[in-house]
Amino acid sequence: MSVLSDQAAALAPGRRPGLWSGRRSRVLTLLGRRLIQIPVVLFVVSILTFWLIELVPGDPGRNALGQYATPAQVRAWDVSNGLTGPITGRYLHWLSDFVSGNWGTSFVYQVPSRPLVFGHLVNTLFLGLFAFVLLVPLALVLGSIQAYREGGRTDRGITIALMSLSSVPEFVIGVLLLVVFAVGLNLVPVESGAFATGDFAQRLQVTTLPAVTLAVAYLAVLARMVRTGTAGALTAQFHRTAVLKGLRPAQIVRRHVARNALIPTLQLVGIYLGTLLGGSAVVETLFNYPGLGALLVVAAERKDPVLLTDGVMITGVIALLALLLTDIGLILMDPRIRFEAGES
Amino acid sequence: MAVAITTAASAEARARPGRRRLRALLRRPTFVVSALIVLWWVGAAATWRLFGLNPYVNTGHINLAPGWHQLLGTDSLGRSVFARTLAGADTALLVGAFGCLLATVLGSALGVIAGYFRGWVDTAFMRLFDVLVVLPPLIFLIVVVEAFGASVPALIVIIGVVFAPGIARIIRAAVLAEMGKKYVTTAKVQGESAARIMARELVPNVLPTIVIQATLSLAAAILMTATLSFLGLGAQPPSPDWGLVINENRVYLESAWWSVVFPAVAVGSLVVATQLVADNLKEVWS
Amino acid sequence: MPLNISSPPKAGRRAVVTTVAVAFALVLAACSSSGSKTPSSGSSSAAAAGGVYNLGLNTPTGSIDPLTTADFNAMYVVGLASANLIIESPSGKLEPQLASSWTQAADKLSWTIDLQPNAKFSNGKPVTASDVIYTFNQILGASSQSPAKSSFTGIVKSVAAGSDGKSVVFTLDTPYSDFPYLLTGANTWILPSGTKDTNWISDPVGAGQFILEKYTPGQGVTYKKNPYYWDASAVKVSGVSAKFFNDDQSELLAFQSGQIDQITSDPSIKAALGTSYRQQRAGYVKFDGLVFNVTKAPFNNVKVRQAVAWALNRPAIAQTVYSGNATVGNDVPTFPDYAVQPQGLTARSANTAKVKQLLGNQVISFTITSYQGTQGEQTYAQLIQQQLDATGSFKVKLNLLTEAAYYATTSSTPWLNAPVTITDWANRLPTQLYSLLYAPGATWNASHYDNSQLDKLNKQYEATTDQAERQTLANQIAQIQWTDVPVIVAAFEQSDVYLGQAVHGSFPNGQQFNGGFDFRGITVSH
Repeated sequence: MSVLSDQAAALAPGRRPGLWSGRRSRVLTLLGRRLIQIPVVLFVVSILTFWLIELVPGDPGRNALGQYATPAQVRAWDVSNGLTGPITGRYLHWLSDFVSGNWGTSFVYQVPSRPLVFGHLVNTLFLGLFAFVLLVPLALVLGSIQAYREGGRTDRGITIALMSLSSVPEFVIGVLLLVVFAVGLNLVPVESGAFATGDFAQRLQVTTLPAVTLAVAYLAVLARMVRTGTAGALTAQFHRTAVLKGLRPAQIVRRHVARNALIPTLQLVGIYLGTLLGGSAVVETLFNYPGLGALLVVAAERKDPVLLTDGVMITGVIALLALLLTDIGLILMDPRIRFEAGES
Repeated sequence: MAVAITTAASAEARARPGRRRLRALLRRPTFVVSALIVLWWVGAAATWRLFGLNPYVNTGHINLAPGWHQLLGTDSLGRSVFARTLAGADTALLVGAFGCLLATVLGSALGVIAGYFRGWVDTAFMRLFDVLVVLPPLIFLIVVVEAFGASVPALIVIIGVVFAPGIARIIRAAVLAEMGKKYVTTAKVQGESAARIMARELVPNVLPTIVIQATLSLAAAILMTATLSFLGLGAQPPSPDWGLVINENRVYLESAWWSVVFPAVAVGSLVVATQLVADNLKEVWS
Repeated sequence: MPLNISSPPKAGRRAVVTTVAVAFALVLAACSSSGSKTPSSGSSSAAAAGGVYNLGLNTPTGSIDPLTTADFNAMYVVGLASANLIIESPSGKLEPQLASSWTQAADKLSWTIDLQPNAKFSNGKPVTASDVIYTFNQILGASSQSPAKSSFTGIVKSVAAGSDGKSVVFTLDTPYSDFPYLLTGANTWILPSGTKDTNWISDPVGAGQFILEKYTPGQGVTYKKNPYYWDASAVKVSGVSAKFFNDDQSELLAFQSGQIDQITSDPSIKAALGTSYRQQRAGYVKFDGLVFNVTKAPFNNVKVRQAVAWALNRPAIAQTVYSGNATVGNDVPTFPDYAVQPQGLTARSANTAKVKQLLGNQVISFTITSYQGTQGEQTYAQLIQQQLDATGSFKVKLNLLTEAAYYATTSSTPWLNAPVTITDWANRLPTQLYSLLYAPGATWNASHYDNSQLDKLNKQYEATTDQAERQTLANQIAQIQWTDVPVIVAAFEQSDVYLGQAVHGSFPNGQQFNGGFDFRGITVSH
């Protein structure tokens, strides 16, 4: 388990410049490869989505016309909306629409799909960003406190508090917040629909409770990862060496601990940024927040292949870019991960 | 699950220190209390039927507050909250435990393989995981559950598949960090087989990360069933599934809090206790 | 990505405090900046007398087009901006809307509908006979996708302008004495001639009490008062702001915080609100039919069907499923507000002895199929299961599908083929319900029941105008439905709405599609 020499060499100040230029070329290679891979992944995802939604029971015509329309009428609706025929043909039709930027019409909402998706995307990004601003600093602070006090009462207490909090479903936390702040104190509206027309202050106001709810849901997991990463770094040999070398605590933390603690955390943040786009659906539904997650849930439940696939593509692009940024961040931060030629 | 892996791996290698560690564990109050809580829920799941509890029958009183006759009160259909909370441990443990066991095994195996081989294996795996990361998990879950149903075995498989990529990514990162270390290089130079290096050298070294991921996904799996219930896709009424019960009764939060608070406490206690058991194990073993 | 993890432990503790404080400051700043003045979006613009009524609806699940809307919320959205020829009051009486009067011809084969002289669309153009003819041709046409089409098939032969130009004549295939009731249904809102149905939401012209101003998919709709409505002076509110909710609990919380002015009662709402708000009960809305597939064992045995009917505790169902806003039913689909009520039947009540007598000692096992949702079917299914299991003669399982799966159009559509199902049926005429639900070969005949005697009696009933004869026929029809029990009708649900403190007056015609979503006489003070 001796990694001392390796670590010390990697972190020796003298080798910095060389490492840095090496990293830049690795980042460029990574970018080049991903530029090819991302469209391929998206292509596979679009096929998968289109095929999966086909398996959901029910049909759009029935959903639109209700239980009392005759089967013949439902069939006619499906035909007039281009929902019959082999799935390959419909997929290719969707694909050409999507690529040409002239997206189709949502069956559920009966409006063009593109403005719907982008309008909701902006709202979800705003919500996600707000939640992240609350979440990430808090998680970093709590997690590192825990790591420095690992096994102690503070650590245990924070673990119990955070896990208890995160084991309450989002929709219960959200309801409790609403009961206190919307019904009890009348500070914020229950439904965030006014958001769409409001100015920035109003946006912030209606997004506060959803963002807090969302942040609470992710806080425990993120704090946990920070704690593990930091604790691991603190017990590592290089840390002890650094202490022995007589570096000041602040230096040790900045140069060694932070970096090693951040690696797994950054991984998780990268994944969750993507997850957040679809994963805020429950919060959005509860608060009537016009976000993309809730929109896609409706599209999936009500069998709207056009809206669903369009939306999944957009969340896909964003999630993949977030992952790419994560991987670039990893290269820049951890000297031990080497993306050699032919890899990544 | 992950706890079991730790125990098995170390028990084999060092039998005597094992007993010492057990004693050390039993001296930790958080461990003892948490283990008892986990045991309580496992016991409840296994034996509630033997005690003649009926989570479905109408006791004759609707929304009765907790008291002498009904320990934890009754819900809007007059059912005993006590009986329903105990019976709910059943599905929570089946879906939660087995789902996240599957996810952890699958995710760790893929993560270790990807991290060890790198090159095209890594690329292929990672892009494959991207597909599942890109499809927002919740949306994927909705579509899959709607298409294939929400039976307990189906949920276990779905949770396993949905959670595995996330775990694999993190394990891969941990493995990549280990790959530069001397012990791996040495083993490679000595001509040890890839399988042996992965099983004997890498897995034990990334085990703490695996254990953390496993315990975190247990919580996430139980919450996932609750989320599915929120969207009307989880367990079907009249099941006493905790997620379903919490979602069904949250509208009664202001008028009959007991029908939602007790199942919520049940979820919380199981999740937190599992976490603390894992924490203590990890600390004593390292 | 903030990389400020480098702060040592002590700074860390300080950072926690700071972060929490910042988060709180954000909340408070956000609230103080605009919190006090804008809890509701629509009200700020309308200081006019009467104010804007804030309505909470569930997000519509189907199309929002006058001819094809099928779910209640979409009907509400269209109905506020549209008007029928005739509406039905909560007590079951017909009242004028765009039509001022209606008369049956002596040969009983045609009805003449006179139009209100001052009826106008929201664009100011008068409602003419040609608009009515256009609308009904759309409904009845060969390519019509309107669910209303089946209500008129085999009944209406043609629609033409009356001799005075101010009336419309409906010529019928057979005599139909309750014909004007068919004009109160959803999808029979009068559209301006030439309206393209699928574009309605982008150019929503109608003759209703309000003008649709803005529709935001998934979020809500805003309306302003329609000055051209034929009875505009009676509409006091200056507009309506409808917000869509996807979650019942957030709707409840929005009501409690005063953001919306009304909420439909159900057991959970009632438990939360108690008696602290004004309630308005109005007409009958629906019944949840427990429908037996009489071609499948064990329900091909009439004794089993009867045993189930005798095992149910109906007052408990009315109380638990419909929070008391229901009238106990007796397995005959005649709503209590209908003019001719069947007589001479024994009212069924929970009777274990009778169940034992019908079934002997056998225990019948079956699965009830229905769908999940907030309309009560789910609660009803669970309650039936409890009640039947408690008799010891039944072992019941439930299969609660999603709504889409339950109504899915496949060869094995669950709601039409499963052995026993629970489906809601909106308030309609008894003969309409017969022809949809009981008639041999009818598309929605989920019971697969086939009785030519019953068919003949219903045809006679439709054609008869003589009150005494109708009563006799109604009794005979009910007797067969009661004895054969293809469908159990345990309770008829009434509309029951909690009104907020700001609302004054009461809705003259309830809030159903057949009452025209009538806001006349309502004012709000906020």
